[in-house]
Amino acid sequence: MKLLKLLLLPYMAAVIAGAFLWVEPAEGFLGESSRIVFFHVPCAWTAALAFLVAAGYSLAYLLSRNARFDSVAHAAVRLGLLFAALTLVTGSLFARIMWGSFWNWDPRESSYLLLLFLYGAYLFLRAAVDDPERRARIAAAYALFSAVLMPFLVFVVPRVTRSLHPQTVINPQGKILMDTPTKTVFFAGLLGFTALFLWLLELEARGARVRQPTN
Amino acid sequence: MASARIEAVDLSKSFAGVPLFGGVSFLLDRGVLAVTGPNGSGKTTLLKILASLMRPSTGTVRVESEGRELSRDERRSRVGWSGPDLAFYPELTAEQNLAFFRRAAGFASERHDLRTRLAAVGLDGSGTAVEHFSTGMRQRLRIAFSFLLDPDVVLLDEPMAGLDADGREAVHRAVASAARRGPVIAAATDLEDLPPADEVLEIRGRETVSGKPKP
Amino acid sequence: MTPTRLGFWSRAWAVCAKDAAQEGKRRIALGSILFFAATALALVSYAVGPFGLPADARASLDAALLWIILFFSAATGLPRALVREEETGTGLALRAVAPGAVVIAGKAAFNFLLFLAIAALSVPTFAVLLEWRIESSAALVAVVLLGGVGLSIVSTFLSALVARAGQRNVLFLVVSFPLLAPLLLPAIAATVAASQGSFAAAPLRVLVAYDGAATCAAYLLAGAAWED
Repeated sequence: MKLLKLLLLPYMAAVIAGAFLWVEPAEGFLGESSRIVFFHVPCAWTAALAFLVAAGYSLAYLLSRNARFDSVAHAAVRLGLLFAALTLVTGSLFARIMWGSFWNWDPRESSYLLLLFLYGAYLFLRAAVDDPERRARIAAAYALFSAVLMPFLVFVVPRVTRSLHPQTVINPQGKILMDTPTKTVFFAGLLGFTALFLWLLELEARGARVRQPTN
Repeated sequence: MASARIEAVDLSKSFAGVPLFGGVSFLLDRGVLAVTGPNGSGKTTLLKILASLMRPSTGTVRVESEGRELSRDERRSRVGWSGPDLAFYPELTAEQNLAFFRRAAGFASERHDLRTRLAAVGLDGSGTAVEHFSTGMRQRLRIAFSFLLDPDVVLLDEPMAGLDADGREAVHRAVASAARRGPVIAAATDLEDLPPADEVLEIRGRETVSGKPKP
Repeated sequence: MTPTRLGFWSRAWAVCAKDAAQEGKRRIALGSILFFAATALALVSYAVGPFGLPADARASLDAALLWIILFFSAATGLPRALVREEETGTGLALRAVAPGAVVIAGKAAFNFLLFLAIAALSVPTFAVLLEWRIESSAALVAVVLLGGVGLSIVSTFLSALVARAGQRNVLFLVVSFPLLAPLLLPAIAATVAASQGSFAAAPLRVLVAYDGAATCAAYLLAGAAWED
């Protein structure tokens, strides 16, 4: 983990530099607005990943009833909330430039707003239960139940309704529509954000264990 | 005749890191085990753990019937339990309550059988809703509930609470007959509030003392 | 020695029948839902009336209003089924005899019947008050049934989670909205299509998939949701 932390800093710096200096702005987008893809998409990816991680640790909790897994799931949701919020902020900056206003009730914007609500609901639910074991069990059940219904929110509903959103990486053509520098920086960014998330997750979960030394 | 036994191995329970009791171990295959201890020592919690209504913090509970270990799910119908916080549907009559619980547990319910069970604890099958029951009548219904599924193991928490001489007599009879067939565990603050016991388990803070009842 | 045991559905049905018997005595759930639905309908029809909406936006606005009324009516009444068990203290007795899956299946069945009662009264009333023309009643029935199944199952499962938490009513709205949104959006889309006379295949397929996913998830997680 220490090594990861040390490598992460120069790596992310390189990704940021690459995003602004190496890559040419994409065609069909106003000005430099396309550069946001290198930050917006990894945030969105990390927010969704956080949910899967939370669901995985919730399942592990239900099977083992080990409080450690519960604290990791909880930490993953807190980070997911952060990345979902960053996704919305970066997305609305782009929307302001491209479509003229920060918020357009585009299905994709709405689905991430709902994802944000979902993370918030998980935290509310935890806050409303006093007994730690019951809280962990109820939160885990909610996280797993949500994980089954979340794909509808993020993948299915935005496709049923019309959207202004640019083609996503997973698109009907099944191709990655980018030139080589863009592709390199883009996937490097994805990897960097994923590593950043894992490092923060470990940090958060460790912090939570220090704060409540119950077991 | 069914042979059953219940075994507790090093049970402990803590709430939010605060230990309630620890080191509870016993093995019982027939007869009455009395659990005593002061208020707040964890008698009710221990019986709920034995009834699979709660999970222990450490340790395990094993219930065997006819030489086979029962799953958590099977124990639901093979272990009968009643306690002071057991409540019934206020709008329904005693008979309707018992009929429902038998069906929800997966057993057929017949009017004649239910009337016999109610008569055994001194309740008639009249149409009075449980909300109009006195404290003693509710307690009689709780006793009937713990024997409702003809369980292999019977757990009675405060069985005599609020009962008159007649009601105590009914509990004595039911416990004596069940103890000939299999294990019965009964908990109360004092031994006088329990049917005659073969063994005693006293919970005192974090240590438990087991022994024979003093004459 | 082993007596004949009742199967899963008979046990779940016993839970549903017991709730119906209890509801028959007090009628709190049904009463509060119908009262809520009536209030919401009156408010909506008073505010927008049959001519208050621009003609070209009517189809989608009417469909959205209808599902908002159905969602909030359901949120008022459906959580009662499990919350009541905790209020009367009978949750413990129920846990002692039946596993979570049986309880949740029985309560979901009861809630579905409750939803049908709300829908049967409020949908026609809505259509009359707002002079809402429905070209394909069959399509509308299909949407309401498919939406009702998902709404009942998800509400029942989530009310099992909030039943033992504080601030249940607010909490239920908070936890249910993000999970029910992927049901409400296709339901509204399919309702718009139904009012214009067509079966909208895409949103109906989403509803079927959602109902299936929610049913499986609720069945598998019922134990974790209900038992300590």
